[in-house]
Amino acid sequence: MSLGVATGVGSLLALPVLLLNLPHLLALDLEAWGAVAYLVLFGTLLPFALFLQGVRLVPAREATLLAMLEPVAGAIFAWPLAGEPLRPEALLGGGLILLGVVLNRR
Amino acid sequence: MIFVALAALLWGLGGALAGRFMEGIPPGVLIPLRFLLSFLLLLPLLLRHPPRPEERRRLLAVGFSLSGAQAFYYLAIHAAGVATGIFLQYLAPALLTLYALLRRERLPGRALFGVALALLGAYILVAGGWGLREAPWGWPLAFWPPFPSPCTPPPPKGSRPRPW
Repeated sequence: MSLGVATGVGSLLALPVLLLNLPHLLALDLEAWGAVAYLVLFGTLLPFALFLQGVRLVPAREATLLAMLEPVAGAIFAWPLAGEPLRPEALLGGGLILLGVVLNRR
Repeated sequence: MIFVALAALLWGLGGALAGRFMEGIPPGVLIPLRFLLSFLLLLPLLLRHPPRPEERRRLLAVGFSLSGAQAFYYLAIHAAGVATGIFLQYLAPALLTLYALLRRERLPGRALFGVALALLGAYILVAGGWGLREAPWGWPLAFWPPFPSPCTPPPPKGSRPRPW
């Protein structure tokens, strides 16, 4: 429910920006609409619902620490999906984040 | 714990896909559209289970926090650069740890060490070998109540903003 209210408030605040960009909106092709649909379903509704559910079960401090796994996952997924090789900094940084998460497990 | 980890994986996957499929969509279209379509999808649920009057104030506060975090995330990125904006978002666990310590919560030393390690890891991962060299006046914009918020304009190589 809080996600519904949050997106409602966000919609009201962002609507003028969308109206200013109306020509760009009308120019979106089918692939772009597919990307937007993915973003809404799997980049917004599902992960935020999971995160808000998770925050009920673990303290916010631990939840935000766990959420730091996101750039680690991003770097790993970008390898096969975007053809970006894993950089040494990504491996080192990702390893430190994982270690930090493990050290905070109760 | 598994819920939050799954959310992080989905955001990470979205970030990887954003570079490939969302680069052509202006942020001024993508961000409002994301809010609006998400709201429209959730509207039937809200209408079927309207918030009780005593919940409304709290829900509005959460709503403003979530949408404010999004707005300030993008403003910080605009003002201070992508890498700085992302890194500042990852200060959330450190700020919440500080808050817990101020409330005199007892945290084991290994937990504090873990937060420091994760923060260092996020810096190395986000800033890479380039460092955070952007305008420091964008930093205050990112200090909205710590809350994850992902997707944005094309990042410099090595810095990947959340896909929303």
